[in-house]
Amino acid sequence: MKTTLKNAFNDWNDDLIDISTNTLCEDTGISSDSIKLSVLSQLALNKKKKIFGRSFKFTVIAATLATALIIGTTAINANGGVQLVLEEFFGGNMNSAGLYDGGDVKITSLDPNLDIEFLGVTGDERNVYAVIEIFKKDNTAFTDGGYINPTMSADNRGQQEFINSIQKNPPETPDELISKMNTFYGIRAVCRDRNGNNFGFGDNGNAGIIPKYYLSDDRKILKILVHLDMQSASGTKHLDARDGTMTIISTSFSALKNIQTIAAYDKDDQNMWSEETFKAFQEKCREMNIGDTDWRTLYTPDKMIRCVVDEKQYPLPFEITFTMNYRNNGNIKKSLHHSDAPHFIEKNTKTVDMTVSAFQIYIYGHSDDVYKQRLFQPIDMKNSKVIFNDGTELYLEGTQGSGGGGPASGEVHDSVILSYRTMPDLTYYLEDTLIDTREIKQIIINGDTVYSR
Amino acid sequence: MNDHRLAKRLKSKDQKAFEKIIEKYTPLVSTVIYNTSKGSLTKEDIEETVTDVFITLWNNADNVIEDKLKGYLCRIAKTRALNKISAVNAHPLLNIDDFDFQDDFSISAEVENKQLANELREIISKIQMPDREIIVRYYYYSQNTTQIAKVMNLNPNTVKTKLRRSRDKIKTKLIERGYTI
Repeated sequence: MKTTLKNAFNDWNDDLIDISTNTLCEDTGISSDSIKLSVLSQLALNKKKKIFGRSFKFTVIAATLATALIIGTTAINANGGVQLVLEEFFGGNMNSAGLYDGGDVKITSLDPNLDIEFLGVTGDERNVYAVIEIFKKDNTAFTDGGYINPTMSADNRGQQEFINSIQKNPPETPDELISKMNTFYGIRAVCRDRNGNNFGFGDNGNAGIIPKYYLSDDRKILKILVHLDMQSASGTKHLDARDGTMTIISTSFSALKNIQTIAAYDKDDQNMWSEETFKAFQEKCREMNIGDTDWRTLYTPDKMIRCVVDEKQYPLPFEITFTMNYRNNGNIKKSLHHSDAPHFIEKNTKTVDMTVSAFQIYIYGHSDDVYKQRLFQPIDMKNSKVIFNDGTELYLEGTQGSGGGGPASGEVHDSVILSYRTMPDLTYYLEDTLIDTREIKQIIINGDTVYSR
Repeated sequence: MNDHRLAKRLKSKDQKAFEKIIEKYTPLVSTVIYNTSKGSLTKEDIEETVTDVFITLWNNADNVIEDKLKGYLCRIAKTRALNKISAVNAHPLLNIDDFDFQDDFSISAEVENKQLANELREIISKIQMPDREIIVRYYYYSQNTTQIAKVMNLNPNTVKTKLRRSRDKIKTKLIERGYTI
């Protein structure tokens, strides 16, 4: 039995000769748009056959993309790229419930050597997350050898470091605070509502954002996750983000090099955050003659490392503007009273509004008992959880707001934000989780059921 | 965005990268299928096969080697085209002007395909340009001699002659390496 030479050529190798694709193509009359639509539709239709390992997620995306193609929009949805980054950050299954989409994207690179791509934007009523991916056109690394921006944390210039930096000279106004944040992080955002009015601080509409940089192992791909907390941007104006515009303006980013490890902890170390562990760490710092603010925390997928670092700033000049088209509202809203959750809501609380989003649960309370500042009891994490239709459970970790109001205003208000956690104890502080609100069966806070379907 | 990046992102199941790959490679994939079919497949058949190629790519994204995305796609395209021709019981229509009766190269099928492919690649890599380009266009991308002559600005008969000479060289080298031709 023989085979022809033609059939023997079954293993392509571009190294043989890189022939320009243009000179290989014939006009077959087949459009890439129709192929794209056909492929995505077929992938979506085949979901029950589990073509994909993570079929549900892709189905949502494929359907969204197919829709986008049909209506011919230029919007960038909460697509795969965004989802992957958010999943790295949140460790949960991303979904389209209650999220923003981004459209009318304009990218301006002030460095011709940068290849910038806007992967998308998502968020709920309060938080907006935008993801940008950047390469260098000459395929070189962003940082010098050893200078990293570790995956997981991407917290290279973390909040604690920022607080340390402003302790000596604290800002006196919110505008000044945002200005210092912008300088510190090398990136800022300007937000406008659907009518073009600023809703950040100051005349320029600046909003404080905290970027998280994900530098690939080869230091050639930089992903930036920008988180804008609309509440801190401008009080209760966060609802104006719907159909609003955000401009992200970047000037630089920093990378760290570990030059002296003080202590390293395994990710699963249950004692990582204990008082004893921290005291032992402080003692070690004293022995090594390292000051309280002279160390930084680096995270790797396996370890948390406290170390002395060298920090370098690298220029990264670009601007991205996009609109936030609020489309699929998967948030759950409910009013609560003391009788619904006596172990959580104080007796004096008059009204409570709860919003459950894919990212967090927001609870706002009001009372006319002007002498009682706290309207909620502390969250007992072990007795607070979300139970899903498939029986899985997530714990709820609570962060209490500062409260406000009093005799002058005639009312008080208080807030609690609950984050979804897989563990009842804080073993690794970056472990956040996203949920699919459509799959919630029950929400329990301090042992009281506040929502059930 | 270059192929290396696209492939890297595809491997992590990045749908946006997948879309870009479809946009970038639909013309080439449809051409490889068209060329392989030699006119035996309808436009609808080709469209169906192109779709199938990209679905195969998505489902096998883990196997993609970053620097060989184009070749990987072409390989799937050629295999799927041959399967489709067989499935619809079509017969490739050979252009008489393109017919090369001296293309009688054959080799024992017992030879392990992978080994043969590697040997071929090594031998072809040593053939001088532009003969090497003609070989690659003809055998890898299924372009016919008329098409090759047009894009390389050569006489069709020159292309045929060069192909024949290259084939002889390959045969000789393979025989030297112990293959029975």
